[in-house]
Amino acid sequence: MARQGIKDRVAIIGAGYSKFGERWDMNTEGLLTEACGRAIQDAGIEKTEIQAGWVGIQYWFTGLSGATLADGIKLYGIPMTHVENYCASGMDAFRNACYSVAAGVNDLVIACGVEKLMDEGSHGLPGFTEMGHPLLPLPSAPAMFCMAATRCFHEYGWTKEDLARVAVKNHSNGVAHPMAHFRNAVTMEEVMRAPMIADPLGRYDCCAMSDGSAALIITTPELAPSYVKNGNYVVVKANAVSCYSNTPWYVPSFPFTGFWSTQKAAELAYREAGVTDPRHEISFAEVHDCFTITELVNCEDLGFCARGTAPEELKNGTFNWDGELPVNASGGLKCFGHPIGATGCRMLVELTKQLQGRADGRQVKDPTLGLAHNLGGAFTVAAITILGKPE
Amino acid sequence: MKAGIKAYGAYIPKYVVGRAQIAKAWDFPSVPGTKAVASYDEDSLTMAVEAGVDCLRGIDEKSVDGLLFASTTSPYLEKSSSSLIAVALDMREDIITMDFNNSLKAGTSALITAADMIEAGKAKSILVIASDMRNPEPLTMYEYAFGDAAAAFLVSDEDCCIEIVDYTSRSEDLVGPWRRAKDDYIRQSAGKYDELQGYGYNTVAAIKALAEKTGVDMAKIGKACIYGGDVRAPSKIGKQVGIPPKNVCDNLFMTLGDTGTTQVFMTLIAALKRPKDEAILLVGYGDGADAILLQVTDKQKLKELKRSRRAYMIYSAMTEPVPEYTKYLFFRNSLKKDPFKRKTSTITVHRDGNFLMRMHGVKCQVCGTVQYPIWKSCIEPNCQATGQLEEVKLQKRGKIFTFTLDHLEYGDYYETPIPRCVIDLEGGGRILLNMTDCNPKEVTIGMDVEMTFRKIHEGGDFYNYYWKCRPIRERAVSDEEEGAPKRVEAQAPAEEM
Repeated sequence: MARQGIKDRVAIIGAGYSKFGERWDMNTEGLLTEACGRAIQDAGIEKTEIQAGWVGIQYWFTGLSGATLADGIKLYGIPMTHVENYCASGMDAFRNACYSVAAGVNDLVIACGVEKLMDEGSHGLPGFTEMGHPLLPLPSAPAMFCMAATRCFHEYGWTKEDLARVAVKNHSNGVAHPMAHFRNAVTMEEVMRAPMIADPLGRYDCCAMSDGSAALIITTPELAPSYVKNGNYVVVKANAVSCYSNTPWYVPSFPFTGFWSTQKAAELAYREAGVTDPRHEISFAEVHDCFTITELVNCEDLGFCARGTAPEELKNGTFNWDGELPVNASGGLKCFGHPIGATGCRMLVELTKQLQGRADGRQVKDPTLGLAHNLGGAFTVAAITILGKPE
Repeated sequence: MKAGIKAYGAYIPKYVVGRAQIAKAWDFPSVPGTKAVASYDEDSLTMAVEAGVDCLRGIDEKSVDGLLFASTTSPYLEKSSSSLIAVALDMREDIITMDFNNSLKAGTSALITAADMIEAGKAKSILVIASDMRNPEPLTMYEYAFGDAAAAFLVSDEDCCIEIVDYTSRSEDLVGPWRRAKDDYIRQSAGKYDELQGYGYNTVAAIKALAEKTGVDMAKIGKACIYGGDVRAPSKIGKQVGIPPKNVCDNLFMTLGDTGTTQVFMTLIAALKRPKDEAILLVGYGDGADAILLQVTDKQKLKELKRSRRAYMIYSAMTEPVPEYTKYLFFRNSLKKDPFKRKTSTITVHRDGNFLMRMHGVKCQVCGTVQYPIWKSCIEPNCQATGQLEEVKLQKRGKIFTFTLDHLEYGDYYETPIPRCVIDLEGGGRILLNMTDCNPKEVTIGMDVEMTFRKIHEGGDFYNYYWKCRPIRERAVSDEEEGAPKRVEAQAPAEEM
């Protein structure tokens, strides 16, 4: 183990996000201005007090380098870093920002994420002809996760209805969230009848392409009370990232019914946070529901329920926003869409506001520990952050 | 040292177009028969690889000293196809590869060349592959005629079952059918003149010269495999040189169409269904003619080949009609749909040739895991050992571990849904391959699949080839069921359109 973990060594004092959706009205700069501006305002600081910044972006067309953030909020001359780690880009930007504060190098920094997808059209994730090896097959993102769905169907007897319940639950949560891309409830029948994207995932099993941005202002727990007079700030209990192969389909022992990256990140995060019984210690979670199958597998990989039982738990209401362990009370990626670099930070904004008791959407009851989880690539990279209240 | 044929193999694409389908599309009188058509991801080169694979079943590809490729439809005008085929077949690098192009008799010319090289002691065995995929102009007679297929012979100085006895060649400059480099379609001006003065004159002259040279009585020829651009042409030639009509072999025009340079090879392979100790005549035509005299020397070995090769018997029994004529137009890109282009690099494709083309993987010397592609360190998280991976050849068969049907291909909807299949290979190794030549609805976990070499995309403005998987195209075929040579008494297609 490292000499010191991250637990209770970093505090979040400001959180903000842009409206998520088809933001044809603005570019990357506009999205960053909207989200970072709200976070800065939330923290009650002047932007010039910020000493360093990290921005999570996956796609080159959204922007390259830390200068995208410098240009985005017009804060020049200080260290800014672009972090790319697939769908965990935003959460990993946050992790790196946390480390700089915990290291005592900086007192006040910004961590944010942004993605501008909608300008690329609407045919699934863009850029696939540019990425990877020229000849080895590269399935579409839904297809990668469908390979897990097919295997889970085969091994556990899960059905398309089991997947559909995830979409129905998350959409019913998203209705209440003003920042969500989609605020419409859907029925089982609508989900089941939607056009197929990659068997067995239909349109409602897949998160949407969206634009968005989210930002957090971070400081030390020692300084936090001077910014947040009522003491209602949030502290970091754990950061974890775990990387496995970009091409798990070449790994003979890969099961496709669980994702090693999530399992390992969970192990690291729980150890750091001192969580031994996640099902009962985690108050609520934002997990990476890029596809409905992903949420089910995540709940098992995160130790929320036993292997193969996620559909049953879901059906029994365990993961409802007012259930035993609320999962994606915000509406999740299903309702916010997935502006890739932004998603991790969007979840952390949600966690922060939930813990502060001022959620913009469904407020979960008396939370003490919140968990956010991203899963990127072909189940390649997982990031987990656990936030809680100050001791 | 006499050269002979040691093995044969062939490939027929999965799909055929019924001539009635073509007639219906254009509102023309119906014409009997079918023709084989290569799919959208196939070309002469990929079909040649298939024929080569079939021919080399049970034979060490590293023992072959050369590869001669014959086609009028090589994918490249400048760049060898034989060299690429040799790599896909995982042959050695210290071999001779040659392309025989531009004439319909390229196949017989390549066969003669291989035999001469072996007789001269320059090589022990040479693989000769003919493959053609001639693109007919829609709304012409050629559209009814041209079919796609490939066939291969392994020419050797030992273990042969058919001896290559002798041959004669003729060269004649007559503009028969032609296609300039800039033309999409084959042209022909003097149909009847060419039929009589080109085709008729040259094939007859070559056969007569061969009879004179070898002293063989044409009435004693057991099987005459004579090129013909329609179903009746070979019989007309046979009659002129005194070959008994029943001994003139079906040129498969009614089932496969006119398969160009492949035709006489495939005709012979189909005719070897019932091997006898007899003399065989092989006649190729195009800007002259080649007449080759063969003699069956080992009937038993031919029977074994029949059992071990898919060749004509199995492939022709496992075809199905395209659902619609428009599907065939799509195969030929006659509808001019822009395919996606993936970012690529000639350098990457060359460097990675051992796993892209030769389908090699590695075996970890520490944990024993066979894996794909070629890594520097073991991909298994429980091992991760570096520098202890031995390059191995992977089996091209396996079972599906998991899959999906992907409705997106690089943000486009190109021949979707595409089955993306994670496959556990026989003998180890796990791979992800797209499936082709299949009904996506029939894909299941545990399904047996095999690899097939295909054209993937044209990024970088070159042909990017790789492997896909398909349901195994093999099953027991009884003699009765075998697709041809049925004696279809065809009506000649209408002369004019």
